[in-house]
Amino acid sequence: MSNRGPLAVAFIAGMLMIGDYFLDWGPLNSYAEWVQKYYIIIAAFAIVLGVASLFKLHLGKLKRKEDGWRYSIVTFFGFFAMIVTGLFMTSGDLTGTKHPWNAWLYTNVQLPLGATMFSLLAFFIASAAYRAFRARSLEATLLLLAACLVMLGQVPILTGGVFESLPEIKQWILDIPNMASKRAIMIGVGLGMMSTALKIIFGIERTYLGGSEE
Amino acid sequence: MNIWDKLQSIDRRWIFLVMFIVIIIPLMNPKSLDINVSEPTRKAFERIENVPSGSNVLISWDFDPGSQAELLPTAKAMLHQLFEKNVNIVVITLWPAAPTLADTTLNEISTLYNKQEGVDWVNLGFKPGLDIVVKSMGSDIHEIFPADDKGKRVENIPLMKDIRNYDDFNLVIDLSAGSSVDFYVEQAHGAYGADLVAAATGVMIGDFYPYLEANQLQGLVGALVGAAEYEKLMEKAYGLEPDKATAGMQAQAKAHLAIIIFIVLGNIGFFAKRKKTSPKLESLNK
Amino acid sequence: MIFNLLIADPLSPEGIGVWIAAILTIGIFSFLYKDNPLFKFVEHLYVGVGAGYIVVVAWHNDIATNVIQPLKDGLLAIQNNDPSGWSDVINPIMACLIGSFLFFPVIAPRLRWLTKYAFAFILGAFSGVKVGPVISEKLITQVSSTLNRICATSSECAAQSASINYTPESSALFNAIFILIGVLCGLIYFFFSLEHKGATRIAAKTGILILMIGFGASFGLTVMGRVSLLIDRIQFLLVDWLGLIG
Repeated sequence: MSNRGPLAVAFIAGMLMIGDYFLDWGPLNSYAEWVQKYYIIIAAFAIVLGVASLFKLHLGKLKRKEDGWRYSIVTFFGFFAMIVTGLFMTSGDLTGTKHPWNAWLYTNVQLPLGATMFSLLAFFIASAAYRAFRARSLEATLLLLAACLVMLGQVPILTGGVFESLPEIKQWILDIPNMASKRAIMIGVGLGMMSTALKIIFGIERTYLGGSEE
Repeated sequence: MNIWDKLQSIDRRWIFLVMFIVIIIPLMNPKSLDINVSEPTRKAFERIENVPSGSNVLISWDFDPGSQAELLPTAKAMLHQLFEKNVNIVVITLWPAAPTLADTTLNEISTLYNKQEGVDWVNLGFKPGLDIVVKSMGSDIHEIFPADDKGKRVENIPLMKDIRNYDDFNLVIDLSAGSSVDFYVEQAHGAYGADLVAAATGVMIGDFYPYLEANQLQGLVGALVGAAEYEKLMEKAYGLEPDKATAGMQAQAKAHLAIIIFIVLGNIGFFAKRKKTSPKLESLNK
Repeated sequence: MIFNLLIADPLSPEGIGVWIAAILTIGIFSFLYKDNPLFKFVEHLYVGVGAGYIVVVAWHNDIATNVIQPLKDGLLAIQNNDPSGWSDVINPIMACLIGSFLFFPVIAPRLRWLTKYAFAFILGAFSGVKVGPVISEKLITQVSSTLNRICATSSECAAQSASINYTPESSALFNAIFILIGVLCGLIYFFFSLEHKGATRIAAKTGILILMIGFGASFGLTVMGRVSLLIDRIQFLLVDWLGLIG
C-alpha cells in the first residue's frame, strides 16, 4: 500500500504548524488551531493504546496459563477497580464526577506503590556507586570529583575550615561547567531535533510508517 | 581472598541495609541542619513574591506519585505563598497520573486560607498532547480546556471569565518531573513571552541551567533540597513552619556522605587490587 | 527521640488507607531482600491500578469534555437551526475516527494501513510545532546568551544593549570565557564527521573533560533526587503509619 497519503498528511500537518509560528495570517492560524484540537483528541487514543496492549498481554497470559498467570488476575483486579469507581460509579451520567473511592484508591494504593517503586532507585544507585564507579581515567576522576562536590555542597554536613566554601563550589560547578556542558548538548540536541522534524515533514524519514513501500 | 576482594564482592543487601540505617537514624533523631539557600531558589521565591495581589498564575502540575517526594513539598510551599498573597491560581497538568494529586493538595492548602474553588483557584485537569497543549494555551485556553477536572464548564467558572491565554497570567510555574520545562520555554516563553519559574527533580534540574542563565527561566527549584531552601525562605517571610522537606535534610546529608564513602571504598579496593595484579602481569610478560 | 506511639488506627476509615499503603510499601521494599510473591502481587497491582487510572483520566479530562460535550452542544445547535453546530458535531467525530485508526492493527487487521494516517498526523503536527521554537529557544537564544556573557564584562559592549547588564567582577570574565570554551569544545567533541586530530583533538579532549564535569554534577543531583524519594517513604512509615515521630 502506497505511503503517499500518509506522507501528504504529515507534510500538511507539519507545514500548518510551522506556518502558524512564523506567520500571523488568520486562515492559516485557524487551520493550525484545527490541527491542535484534533491532536488533543487523537492523543487520548494513543494513551489508551498503551493500556490496550497491556490488556492484550495479560489476557494472553491468562488464556495460555503461562508462568505467573495468577498475577495477571491481580492486574485486572486493580484495573477494573479503577475503571468501575472512575467511570461507572460517577454522579449523574458517564461524564459525571468520579466516585470518592477512585480518589481513595489513588491516594492509598497508586500513590504509595508509585512512590515506593521509584524509591528503590536510591538503593540501586548506592550499590552501583560502590561496585561500578571507578576513577579509571582522568575523565572518570573528574566526573566522580564533580559528583562528590555537588553532593557535599547541596546539604552541607561537613562544616568548618575548607568545607565552609562547599556550597559556593557546588554552585559554581552547576552554574559554569555544568551549564556549559548542558548548553553544548542542548544546541546539539536542538540541531538534531530540527533536522529530524524537517525530515519527517518532508517525508525523508519514513520509518514510522513501517514497511518498504514507496 | 584478601580484604579488598571480599569487600569488592560484598552482597549488595548489606549496602541496602546501610542505606536504611543511615536514613532512619537521623529521622528518628531530628536535628536541624543549617540550610544554605541557593541563588536559583532565591530567584524563584523573589519572582513569585513580585506577583501582584489579585493577579493570575498558571501552575502546570507535571509530576505523579513517582516524583511527588521531590516536588510536592515545593508545590505546597508555593501554594502557601500564592494564597498568602491573594493570587488566583489556575492549575493544569500534562501528566495523566497527576490530576487527583493536584486536586487533593489544592483542597488541603486552600481550606487553610478560606480560598474557594472556582473563585480563587481552579483545577482544569489533564490534557494529552504535551507541546501542543502548551502552545494552544497561548491562543485560547477555553478551547483546549472547555471544562475543569470535575466537568464544570469553564464559562461557568467565575475565575476563568477573564482568562483566555498567557497574556492574562502574570507568571507560569512548571512543577516538572520530566521535560515539560522544555515545552514551556519553547512555546509559552518563546512564542508568547510568558514569564516562567520551574521546579524540577534532581535527575532533570542540571539540564535546565542553560535556560536559567539565558533568563528563559526566572527561577529554578531543585528536588527536596530546593524545597527545604524554599521552606526556609517561607519561614523568614511568612513565619510558615518548615515541613517535611526540612525534616529530611539531615537524612539527605548522611545518605550523601554514605554514598561518597561507598565510592571512596570501592575505588580504594580497585586501586589496591590493580596494584597487586600489575607486578604479576609484568612478570608474565618477561 | 520523640516517641508518639500512636500507630494509625486500622479500624478508622483513614487508618485503613494508611495500613493498606504501609503494607503495599513494605511489599515493594521486600524486593530488596529477594524477589518474592508479595512483591509480584504489589507490582502487578501497581500496573493494573496505574493503567486503569490513565483510562479514567483520559475519559473524564479529554473525551468527555472535548468530544462528548461539544457533540451534545452541536446536536442542540443543529436542532435550533444554528449551522455552527455542524462543526461541533463533525470535528470531534472525525478526530475520534482518526484516533480509532490506531487500534486497527488489533481490532481490524485488514484495515491496518489506516493506522499510518493517524501516525503521520501525530508525527507531522508534533514535528511542525517543534521547528520554530527549537530554533529560537534552543539555538539562537543559547548562542546569544553565551556571547552576551562576554559582552557583559565590557562596559562599552554592555551599554549597546538594554538586555545586557554590565558585570565588572574579575571572575565574570573568567566564567564567561570558560563557558564559551566549554560550549565550543563540547560541540566539537560531538562533531564526529571531522577527524579529531591536531587542534581539533585538543578541543575535543577539552570538551569531553568539561562534559564529564557536567555529567558528574548530574550524577550528584540524581543521587540527591533518588535519596529524596526514599526519605519520603521512610517518613511515611515512621510518621503516618507507626507514629514514631511526633
